[in-house]
Amino acid sequence: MINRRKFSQLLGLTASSVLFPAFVVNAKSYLTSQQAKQLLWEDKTMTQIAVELTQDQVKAIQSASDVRVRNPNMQVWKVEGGGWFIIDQIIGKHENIDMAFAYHADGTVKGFEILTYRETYGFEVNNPKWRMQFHGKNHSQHLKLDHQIKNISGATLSCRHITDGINRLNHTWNLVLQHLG
Amino acid sequence: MRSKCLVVAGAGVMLLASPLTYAEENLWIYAKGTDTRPKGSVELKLSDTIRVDKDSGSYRFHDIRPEIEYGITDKLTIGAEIMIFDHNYSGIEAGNDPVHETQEANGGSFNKTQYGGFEIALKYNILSPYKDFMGFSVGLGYENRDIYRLDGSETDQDSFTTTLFFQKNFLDDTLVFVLSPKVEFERRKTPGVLEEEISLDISAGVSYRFKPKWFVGLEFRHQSDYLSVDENGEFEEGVKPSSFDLTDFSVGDQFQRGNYIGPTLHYAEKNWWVTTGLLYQYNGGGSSRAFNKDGKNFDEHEKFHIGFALGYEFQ
Repeated sequence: MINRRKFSQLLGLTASSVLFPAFVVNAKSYLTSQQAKQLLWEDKTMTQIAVELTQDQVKAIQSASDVRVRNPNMQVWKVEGGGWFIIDQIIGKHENIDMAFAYHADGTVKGFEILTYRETYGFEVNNPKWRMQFHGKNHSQHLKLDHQIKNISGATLSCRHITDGINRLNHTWNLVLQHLG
Repeated sequence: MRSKCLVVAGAGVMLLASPLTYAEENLWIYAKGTDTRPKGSVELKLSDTIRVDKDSGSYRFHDIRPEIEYGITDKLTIGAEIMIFDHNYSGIEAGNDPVHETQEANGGSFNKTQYGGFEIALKYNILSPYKDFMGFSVGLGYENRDIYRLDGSETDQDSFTTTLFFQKNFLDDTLVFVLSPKVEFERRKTPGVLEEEISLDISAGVSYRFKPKWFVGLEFRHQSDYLSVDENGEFEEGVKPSSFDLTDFSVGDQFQRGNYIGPTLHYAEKNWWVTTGLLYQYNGGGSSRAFNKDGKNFDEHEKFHIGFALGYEFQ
C-alpha cells in the first residue's frame, strides 16, 4: 500500500510538473472593428445609426429566423453608396464571439470577420473557404448545417452558432434595416 | 487527510491560475453529455467524489481520479484514469458490513489511502446535439480494481461497461439536458469467493448557462446492482444469481439501490474548467441482505456525495 504522505507528495509533484509549463492567453483578438471595416468595406465612408429593436421587431426576427435575439441594441453603420456594416456577438460554448458582418444594399451577405474568439477549439470557422459559403445568401432561405452550409468536424458548435447568427441578421435586415431612412 | 486536501487544493489552484477548455467537460458530477474531444486534443482531469456519512458514526470516502483524454478522431475519444481510494471512518454501527468489520468493530476506525485500480474507456459520437435532432454517443470501458471500494480489502475485479449518452439542447445550446445510462458487468474474485454483479447506473442532468462562463445545474443519479455470490461453488440460498457468460445471461435479484439528486455548478475559462455538486440520497433500499434504514441504503450508499472536478486543456 502507498504511504499517505508519499502519495500526497507524488500526486502534488506530478500535478505540478504536468500543469506548470503550459500557458496560453485567454481570449484572442484577431481584428479591431476598424480593421474589420477596412477588410470588408475598404475606405468607404460609413455612418453609425442607432438601432434599438422594439419588442415587436425582436419577436418578428425570432419568429422568422428561429434564433433568439439576445441584445436589442445593435451596432450598425450605413455604408455610403449602399450596404451595411454590423458589429455583433455570436454565442459560443462559454462566452460570446465578437464578429463583424457586411451586407450589400440588397440584403445579401458580403462577408464577415471574427474579431475576438474566446474558445480553445473551433477557430477553423475563420477559414476563408468556409466563410465564403455565406456570400450572397439572404433571408429567402433558412441556412442549416449539412444543407446549404458545410460543417467543420471538431468545430460544430461554432459553425452552428455562426450560421444561426447570420440567419438572425438576414431577417434583421429584411424586417428592420432595409426600412431605415 | 489534511495533506490530501492540500494536494487537491494545490492542483486546483494551479489549474485556476493557469489559463490553458472545451469539449467533453463535465457539467455535472456523474452525468455526461455526448461531446467527444476534437482530433489530436488532450485534456487532463482531476476529480474527487467524496462520499459522506452512513446512517451512523462518521464516514468519509474520497474517490480521487486523475484522468487523461485524447481525441483519436473528432468522433472518437479515448480516456484512461486511475483510482485513488481514501477511507476515513469510525463509529459505524454493527450490521453495516463490511464497513463495520473493517473499523475493527465498535470503537475502532479505519483510515487508509490506496491505489484502487484503473479504467480505460472509449466514447464514439453518432449524432451531434448542435446539428442533429439530438446528441447520441456510445461508450465502452474496461476497469480493473485491486481494491474493494467498501472495505479497502484486496480483490481482483474486472469490469466491462457499456454507456449510452443522450443530449438535447435548447435556447441556443445554453440549456442542456442529458441522460446517460450505464450497465456494468463486474467479476470479483477473492479466495474461495466469486462475485458476479450487474450494476445499473443511470445519471441525468440539466444545466443552464446563466451568464458567460457560468452553468448551474441539477443532477439525478440512480445506482443499483444485481449481485450473486458464489462461495466455493455454491450460491446463496434463495437468491437468483446474475450471470453474464456468453451462453448464459440472466439478471439476478437486486441487492441494493440508491437514488440521489442535487445541484451542480460549473465554471469554464478558455482552457480550464471546474465543477462542483452535492447529491443527496433521497431514496434507497434493496434486498433483506442489504443494510437499509428509513427508506435509504447505507452499505453501498451514503447520505451525500460531494463532487469536485477540474479539467485542463492542452492545445
